[in-house]
Amino acid sequence: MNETHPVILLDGVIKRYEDDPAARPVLNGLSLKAAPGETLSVVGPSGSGKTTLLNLIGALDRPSEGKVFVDGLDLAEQSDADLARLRNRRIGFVFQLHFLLPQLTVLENVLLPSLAAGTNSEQAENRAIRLLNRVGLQDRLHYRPANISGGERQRAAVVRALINEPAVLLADEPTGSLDRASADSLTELLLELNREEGVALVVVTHAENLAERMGRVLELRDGRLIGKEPVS
Amino acid sequence: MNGWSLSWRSFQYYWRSQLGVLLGAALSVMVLTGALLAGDSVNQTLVDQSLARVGRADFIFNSGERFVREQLAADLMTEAVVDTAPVMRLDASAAMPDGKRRANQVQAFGVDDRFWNLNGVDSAAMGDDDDPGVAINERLARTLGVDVGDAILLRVEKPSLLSRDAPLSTAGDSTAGYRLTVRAVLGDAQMGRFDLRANQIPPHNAFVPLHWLQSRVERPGRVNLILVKNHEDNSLGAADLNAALKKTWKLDDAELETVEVANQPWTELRGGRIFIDPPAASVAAELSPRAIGVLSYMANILEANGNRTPYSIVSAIGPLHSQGAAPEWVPSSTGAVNVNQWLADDLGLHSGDSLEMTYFVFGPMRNLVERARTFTVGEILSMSGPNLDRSLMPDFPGISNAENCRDWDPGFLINIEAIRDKDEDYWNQYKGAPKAIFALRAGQEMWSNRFGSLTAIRVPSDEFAPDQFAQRLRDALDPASLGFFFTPFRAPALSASRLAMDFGSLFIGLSFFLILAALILLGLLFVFSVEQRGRETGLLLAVGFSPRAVRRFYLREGVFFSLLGGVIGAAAAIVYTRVILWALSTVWSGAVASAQIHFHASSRALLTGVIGGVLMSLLAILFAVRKQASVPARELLNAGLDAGAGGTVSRMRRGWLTLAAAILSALGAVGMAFTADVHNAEQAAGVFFGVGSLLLISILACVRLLISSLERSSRLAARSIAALALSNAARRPGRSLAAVALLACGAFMVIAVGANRQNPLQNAEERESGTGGYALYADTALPLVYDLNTESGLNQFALTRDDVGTIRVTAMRRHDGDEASCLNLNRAQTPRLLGVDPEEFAFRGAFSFAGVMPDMPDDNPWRLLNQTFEDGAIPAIADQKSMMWAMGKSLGDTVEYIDGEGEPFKVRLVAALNNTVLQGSIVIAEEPFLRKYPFETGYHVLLIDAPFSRADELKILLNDYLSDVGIEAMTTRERLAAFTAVENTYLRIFLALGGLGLLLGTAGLAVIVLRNVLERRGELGLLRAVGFTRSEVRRMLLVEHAFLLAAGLAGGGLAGLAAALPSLRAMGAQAPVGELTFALAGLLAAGLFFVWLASRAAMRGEFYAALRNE
Repeated sequence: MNETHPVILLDGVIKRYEDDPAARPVLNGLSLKAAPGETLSVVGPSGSGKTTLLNLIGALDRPSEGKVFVDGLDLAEQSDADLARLRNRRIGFVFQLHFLLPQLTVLENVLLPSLAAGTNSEQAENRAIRLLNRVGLQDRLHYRPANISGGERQRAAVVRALINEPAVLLADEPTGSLDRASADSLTELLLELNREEGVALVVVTHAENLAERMGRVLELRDGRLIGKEPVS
Repeated sequence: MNGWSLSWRSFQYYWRSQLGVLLGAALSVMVLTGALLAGDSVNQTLVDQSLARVGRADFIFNSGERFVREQLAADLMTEAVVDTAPVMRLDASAAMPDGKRRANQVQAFGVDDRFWNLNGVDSAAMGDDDDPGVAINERLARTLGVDVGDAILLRVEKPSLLSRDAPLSTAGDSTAGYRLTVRAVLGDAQMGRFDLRANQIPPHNAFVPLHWLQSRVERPGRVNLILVKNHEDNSLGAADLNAALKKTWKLDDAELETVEVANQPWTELRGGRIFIDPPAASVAAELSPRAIGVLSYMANILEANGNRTPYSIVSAIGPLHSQGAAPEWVPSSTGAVNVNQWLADDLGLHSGDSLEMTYFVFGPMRNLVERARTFTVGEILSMSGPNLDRSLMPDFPGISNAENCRDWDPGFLINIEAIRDKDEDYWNQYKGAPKAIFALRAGQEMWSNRFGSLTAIRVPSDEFAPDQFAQRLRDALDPASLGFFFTPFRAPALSASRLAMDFGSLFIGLSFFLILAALILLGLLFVFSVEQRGRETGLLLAVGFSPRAVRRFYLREGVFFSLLGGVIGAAAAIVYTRVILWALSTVWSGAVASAQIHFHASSRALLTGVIGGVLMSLLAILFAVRKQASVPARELLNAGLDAGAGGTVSRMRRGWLTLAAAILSALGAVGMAFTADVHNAEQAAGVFFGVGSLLLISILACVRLLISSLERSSRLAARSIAALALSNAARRPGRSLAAVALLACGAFMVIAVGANRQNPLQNAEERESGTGGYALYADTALPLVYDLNTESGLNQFALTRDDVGTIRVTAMRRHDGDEASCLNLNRAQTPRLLGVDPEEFAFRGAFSFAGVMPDMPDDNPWRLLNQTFEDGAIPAIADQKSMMWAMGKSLGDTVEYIDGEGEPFKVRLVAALNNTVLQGSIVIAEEPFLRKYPFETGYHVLLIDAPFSRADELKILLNDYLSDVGIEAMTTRERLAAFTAVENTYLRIFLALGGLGLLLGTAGLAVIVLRNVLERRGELGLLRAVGFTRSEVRRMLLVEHAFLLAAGLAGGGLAGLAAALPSLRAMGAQAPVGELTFALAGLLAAGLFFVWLASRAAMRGEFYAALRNE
C-alpha cells in the first residue's frame, strides 16, 4: 500500500438519502484508503451500504458529509462534467448485469468509453482488440451481445471497463448472474487484469470465495466498516 | 465509431420497435408538407386562372361607356409596333329561347381575328357578319344547359352616346336581343375565361363577330377595349403606350368635332355627347382669349302675360375669358333674356316684361325636378339675325333628327297635346334655333351637371380654321383626362393571384392541432423508448458520457427517425394533398368558392414542408429528451424503467416556476385580450389563438400544480382505490401532463370551432343585423336609371305598386372592380366601389359596425362618408371581413383607384361593417363617386326593404320583370349564407383535421394507459396478490386516467370558452351550448372507452408472473 498516494481515499463519509439531517445514514462516518493496484472486497448484509460505497467511489454519487478522493481528486470539488470525465478516464465499472448495448457489437461496446473520452479511435481499437484477445473473445469481436454467452458478455464488460486504462476498477457483484464455472473464470480474469494493468480493484460481493481472493476484505455493517480495515 | 455512427447503430436496431415514433415524425411531415402543397396548388391554380383570364394581353385600354374608333387600335399598332386587338365589350344577359334557363351577368365581346391571334388561339367559330353565331364559354354553356348547335337569346346593352343619367338623354331601347346559334364552347385555353376582373369564378362570356355587334348596337367602327401584347423582351411600359396613344388619338375618339358655323365668323367645337367634357372644354377655352361658350337646353314652358310656349330650345352664351366678349345679341346680365320675335309675338312680350321659364333638371334615378326662373326681357331679336342659329342646338338624341315636334323623344314624358301647330311650323322652319338667349353664367347656374356645362365652344374663325382648331386641341388635350389610357393588365392579374390568401399558411393553421397531436405523440413515444432504455442511459453515464452527451446521442438518433419520417412523410404528403384537393373540389368546395384546384407540387413547398416537419419532429424529440439522463446513473442502472418516476428534484423550485408560468400566462392572455386591435382581422385571429394558447398554458400549469399536490399527498393513497389511482397519476407527471395537454388541445379546438361558427341569419330582420333590415339584394348587369320607389319607375318594367307592395329601394352606383369578398380567392387590389347616399343608411341605422378609425366620431359612422381628408382621400366603409381577408387592409388604410380621367385617387377605410351583405365592395358617398366617375351611368346594386315573409316571392318577381337590365336578385339571407358558408367550411376543415388530431390524441392516451400498465405489471400483480380483484385494479386504472381525461377536457374547454368570449358576444354569433356540451361529452365518453379498452388489453395475462420477474 502506497501511503503517500492512495488511489482511493474516503474520510469520515456520511451518506443519507433523505434531506432530513436527522435521518439514519446509509454510510456513517466511513473512512477508507486503497493504494494503486491494490485489490479489496467489500462484504456485508443487504442494505449495509455496499453499493452506496461503490457509487461514492465511482463518482456516481456524492457524500452528504465527509470527503472522497479518487486518484488524488477531491470529488466534492468537481463539477458534474469533471466527474463524468473522471468516471470515463480513471474509473472502470463492472456490474452484476453486463449492460452491453444490444445494438452494438462486442468490439463497439468495448469502445464505448473511448468514444466518450474522444481518444484516438485507432489506438483505442487496437487496445480493445488486444484486451478482447486477452480475455478470449477474439472470435467474438463482431458478435452482438445477444449472440454470446453470459460469461462472454461479462468478460466483454470487464474489457469495456478497462479500455481507458483506469486507475480503479469497481465491480458490483460481478459474478452474481453467472454460474459457478463462469464466476470462477471471471474472478481469475479480474485478478490477472489487476496485475497486468496495475489497476486498483474494488469488488462488492456476497460471494465469499470471490471476496477472499482479494488482498483485503472490508465488512460493512450499519454503515460502518468493521474490523478488517484499519481506519486512518 | 463516432457519436453519429453510435446513434445510427441504435437507430438501425430500434427503428422497427419504434414504428410509432417514425409514424409520428412522418405524420407531422405529411401534414405540414401537405398543407404547403395544398396552398401551392391553390396559388398555382389561381396564377393559371389569371393567365387564362388575361390571355396574352399585357396592357389594356378600357374606355368603359365611351367608344373610340376601332382604327385607333391599328394606329397604335403602327405607332408602337405592337400587336393590338380592338374589342367591343357590352353587358348582356343570355337565355334559352324558351326562357327556362337564364344567365343575367353575361359579358358580350365583339371580337375578330385580331383578338384570337393576339391571344395565340385558333379563331373561334362565331360565324361572320353575314351569318353570325356565338361562341360561349363553358360556364355559360353549363348555366344555360346548351351545346354547339343550340340557339340562345343574347340580350346586349345598347350603348348610348350620352350617359343615361344625363339630362336630355334617352333611356328607351337600352337593350337589344338576338337569337344566335352556339358555334363553339370555349374552354380556358380558348379565352373562355377572359375577364377584366380578378376572380377565380369564371364569368359568363359570349363572343360574337365584332362588326356584326357594332352594327347591331349602332356603333359601327367603335370599340371600348383595346388589348396590347408587349414586345418579346417586355420592353414596353404603359407609359410608352400612353405616349403612343397621345400621338395617335383623335377628337373623334372622344366624339368631338370642330366645324365651321354657317354664315358666322366662328369655328365651333361640339360633341356627340351633348355636353363637352369639362377637361376638353377647359383646354379648348384656353386656346383662344376670344372663345365663347354655348349652353343650349330645352325649356318646358316659356310663360309671360298669361301665354305659354311649350318645349322651346333656349341658349346661354357668353365669353369664356374676361377679355372676351359675347355677341351683341346676348344679354350681359344673368337676370335678363333676349327673345326672338317669334317668341315675343307668341307671348306678347316687350322689353322690360317678365318671362318665366320652367325646365327639368335630372335628379338621381332620372327623377325629373321641374324648376322655374323669371327673367326680364331685354332685346327682341329679329328673325333674320345671327341669333337665329339652328346650330346652337346640340344633337339632342330623340330631338335633332325628328321630322316634327310630335316625334320628339327627349328622355322624359312630353305633353304632345301642348304642342301647337305654330310650334310645328317653327320647328319646320327654324329647327333648333333658340327662341330665348341668356347670359352664359345664368345658363350654367341652371343646367350645369356632372357631364359638363357647355354644349359648344366657339372660337373666331379668323383665328382657327376647323382643322387647325382640332389639331391644336388634340395636341393640348391629354387623352387620359377623357378616360383614355392604357393600364397594365397581365401584371396586376398575376399580382392579385400571387398576393392571394396564403392557403399554405391557412392549411397549416387548420392542421395546427393535428400537427401538435402528432408531435406530442411523437415526443411521448420517443420518451417511452428512451425510458425503456434507462439502463442503457445509466451505462452511458457510468462510463463517462455527460448527461448532455447522452441527450445528444438520443437526439442524433431522433435525427434519423425524423429524416426517415421526413422521407415517408414527403411521399405520403403527395397522397394527402391529393385527398385535400379532392375534398376541396367536393365536400369542402365552399372554402375555395367552388374553384377547381389542380395539384401542383413545387420543390420549394416540398422542401420547406419536409425540412419544417423534420425540424418540428426534432424539436419535439429535443423537448422530450431534455430531462433524460438527469436521473443519476446509479438509479438508472438499478431501477431501469422505473428510474425517475416521481422524481424528487427541486420540487419546491419547480412548483414556484409552474405557479409563475400559470400567473404570467394568464396575465399575458388578459393583456393581449385588452390591448389587441380586434378590428384588425389578422390580429383578431391571432388574438383568439394567442389568448387561447396562453390560457391553455396557464391552465396546464395549474394542472401540473394539481398533479404535484397529488404527488405530495401520495402517502395517503392507500386509504382508497380512488386515492391510489390519483397518486398513480402523479407518478409520471410529465407523461400525465402530456396526456392532459393532448386532450386539452382537442377540447380547445371543439370550443373554438363551435364558438366561431357564425349564424348571421340570427336577427336577420333587424336593421343592425348583417342584412341591414333589407330583405333583398340585387345586382344588375345594365345600369338601372329609373327609381323603383316611384310608380313611374316601376311602370318602366311593367310593374305597379300593387305588384310589389310596400317596398323601399336603396340604390347604389357601382364602379366595377375586384370582388373583395371571401368568394374571391385572389387579393382584391381595386375592389368594386359602391356610391351611396350616406343619409339613407345613417337615417335607417342600417347594419352594425365592427370598428371605426381612431380619432373619428363613431355615433353614426355612415356620416363619416361625408368627411374630407387633407390629403384628398375619400372616406370609405367596407365589411370587416372584406377588409381583412380579401384586401389585406385595416382601418385607416387607403386603397388606390384610377378615376374616370386617368388620375389616381385614394379611398380611406374609416369604418368596418360587421359581417354584412355589402361584403365584396367598398362603399363611398355618391357625391365623390360621381366626381371621380362622372361617366358611370345609373345604379347597379339595390337593397330592397320589404317584408321578409315576401322575400322569395319578390325575388322571383324582380328577376322576371327586370331581366332586361340583367338583374340578379337574391334574398339577403341567401347572400349572407353564401358568405358564411365559406367561413363555416373552413371551420369544418378545421374540425375534420382537428378530428384526426383528436384521434391521435385519444390514441396517445391509449398508448399512455398501455404504457402505464405495462410498466407497473409487477405492482399490479402485487395488488392482485394482496387481494385486490381484477375489476378493482381495472377501476383504479380507469379512475387514474379518467382524471387525466377530465382535466384535459375541462382545461381545454375553459381556455377555448374564455378565448371565444368576444365571438360569442358578437352580433350574429350564437353560442351552441348544447352542441358544445354534446361534443365534449362525446369526447369524454370516447376517451373513457379508449382508456377502458387499453387497460383491458394491457391487463390480459397473468400478473403473478410479472411479480415473479420483479
